[in-house]
Amino acid sequence: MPATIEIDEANGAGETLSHNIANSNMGNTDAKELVAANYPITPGENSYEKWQKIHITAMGGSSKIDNLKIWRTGALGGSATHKTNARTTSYGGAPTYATPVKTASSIATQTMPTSEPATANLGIGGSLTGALTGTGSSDYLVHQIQVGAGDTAGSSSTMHYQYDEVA
Amino acid sequence: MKHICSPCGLEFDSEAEYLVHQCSVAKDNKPTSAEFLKETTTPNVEAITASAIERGREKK
Repeated sequence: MPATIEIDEANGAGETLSHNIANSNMGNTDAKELVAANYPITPGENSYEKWQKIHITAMGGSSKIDNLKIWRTGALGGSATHKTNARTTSYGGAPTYATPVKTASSIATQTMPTSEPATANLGIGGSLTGALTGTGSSDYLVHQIQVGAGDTAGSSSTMHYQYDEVA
Repeated sequence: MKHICSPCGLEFDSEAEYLVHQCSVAKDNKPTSAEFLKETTTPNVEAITASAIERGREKK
């Protein structure tokens, strides 16, 4: 039996953690599974940051989970950019949770990859070479959409959360 | 920190409580503990264990 994995998202000042979220819709409110049409990002501004993590809730028959890779496929609207703390070099360690903001993120500062990274870009225990041998979570993945002043169209794309599972 | 099961909306005071709850919505991908998995996905685990112990005795 494989490990059981879910994506969790934290929101609010109190770090309320929602387990097993259904989507990563981004917009002008700090909420999980938001309806983007109801919370469009104002042109020239940013989405609220997303604070998410990969959560191993059961190891099944596996002995180790590691090599976490995060990327997005699909174009963004207009001149929008997608920023993240995920990176394969100069990784900043596990970020300490802070209430999500819609000002330009000071943590999500590198462009989200649009294809599978060659190596891990999200850490476990603050390190890209970290691993989980029991239930637990990755470091927080922080990401944010930053849109241009002339951008009026939204977009739909796919987030990829990949991991290696050692039997 | 408050924990919420996103599919069913139930709230928990700890992750441990969340991990053992039986979600009424996400039945096919229910987060659970290893102990709970053992109980629910291998209902005859005790019989299998007893059989293995018996085989071990016979080998000796």
